[in-house]
Amino acid sequence: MAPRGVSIIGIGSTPFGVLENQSLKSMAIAACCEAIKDASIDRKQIQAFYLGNYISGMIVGQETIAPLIADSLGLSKEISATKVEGACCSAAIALRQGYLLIASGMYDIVLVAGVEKMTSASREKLTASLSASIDMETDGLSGITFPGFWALIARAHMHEYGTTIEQMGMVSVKNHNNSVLNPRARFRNKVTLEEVMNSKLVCDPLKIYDCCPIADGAAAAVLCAAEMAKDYTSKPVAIIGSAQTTGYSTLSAYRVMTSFPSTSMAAKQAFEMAGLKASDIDVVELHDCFSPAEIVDSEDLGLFAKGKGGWAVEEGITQVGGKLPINPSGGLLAKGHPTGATGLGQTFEIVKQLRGEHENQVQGAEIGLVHNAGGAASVCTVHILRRR
Amino acid sequence: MESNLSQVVLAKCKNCGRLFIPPAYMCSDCGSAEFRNVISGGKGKVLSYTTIRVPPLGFQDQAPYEIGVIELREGVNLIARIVASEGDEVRIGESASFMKKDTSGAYWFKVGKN
Repeated sequence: MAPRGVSIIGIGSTPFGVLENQSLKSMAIAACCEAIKDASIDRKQIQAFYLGNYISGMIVGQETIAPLIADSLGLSKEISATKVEGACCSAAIALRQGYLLIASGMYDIVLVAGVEKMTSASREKLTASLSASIDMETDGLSGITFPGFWALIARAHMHEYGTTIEQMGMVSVKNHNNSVLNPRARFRNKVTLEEVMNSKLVCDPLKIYDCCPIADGAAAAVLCAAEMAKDYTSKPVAIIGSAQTTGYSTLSAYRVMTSFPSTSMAAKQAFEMAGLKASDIDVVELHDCFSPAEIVDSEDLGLFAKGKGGWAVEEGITQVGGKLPINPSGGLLAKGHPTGATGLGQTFEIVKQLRGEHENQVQGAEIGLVHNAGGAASVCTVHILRRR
Repeated sequence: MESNLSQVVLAKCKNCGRLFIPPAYMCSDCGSAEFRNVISGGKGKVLSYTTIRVPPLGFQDQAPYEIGVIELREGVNLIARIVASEGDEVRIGESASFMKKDTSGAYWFKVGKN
């Protein structure tokens, strides 16, 4: 039996950035209320709530946050409120759980959200928390960090395919230019390639502009059975592909260091489900936690041939106005990365694109792709969305 | 923790022979939970490398430090602290040989011909 169609009928998001005096709860509630209002539903119609979050326990000292936020939102006490965690992929996992529940016919309306509070934590606490998805029985013993992971991948990709550090810098330049128009972005300033290349080394060859900034933020979406969606909104966006895969838990397990099978498998599954191919996609938000990640992920998603991602950036293909715009929101690199909220932040941006309402609009965008990943690509999701 | 700090001890699946960096609990290929220790020759090559300048907790007093992915001749990779031999530069494909395992469990390799 084919799964029942699922549509996104409402979206909400806080800005991503340093949100002083905003708590985990206040941000999540703001994003959820905006999504509920956007969907024109009554909150008592919601039949399940899934919340993505990565490190609230370690950073804010608050756990059990799904029921806590559901209670504050005044959701029905007869429904389940569940937190899901998959490092930086947590929010897109929440999206997928909601999708599955409606597609299966179990429920008609589900609220999904993601939230993270990061900027109030000390640097030591942050580094320790963010490293917590590195396998501490093996890789972690060496003193490796996430920028370190991506620096290793970057060097291997440069060696294998001749990708240049300038091409990686161009990813950062493009995404910063995109974020200028996005009111939800943490950084809204343009940067030049020279500024990127001359910025402080973090983890050779990656510099500070090759690394995404942390952020506070929350994002949410209301999902609804496709056949009921038009009762609530004139602009539903259909989820036509949804996939989640599992990668290796340690970097040392990867035999090839220039590709992540979790991403390529998730893309393959999502494209098959949607009955589409990479050339059908009009706009992409992908997980550019570091500038080499945009290049590697764009290849693993099948958007470009392996080894050609760097040249796609250099030739302007991934710019807004190019053949395949990637991260018109500014991406994680400029919009910011509130880890447990990011996947739904990306979804928010793509839904706005497909509604034709984005501040940095890709003209005529009908089909969009959202790629979110966590850990050493140990968890990956791909969602394909289509304007109805 | 491995008590042997002077050798790279690998875990070899008794059923299918796949090698793992310990600890190994179960062979993810064949499902066997039985392993025997195999001593690696400690020789390999650099697959990639970087310098960590912003360290995690517990490593603050050591930064900056070099990390590499080493492909052992036995056909298994590990992440290690690396030190260039005098007069040698760390490069991808350069040979690497095991130096020690420190008490916190990190592997150390020397990179270069010397």
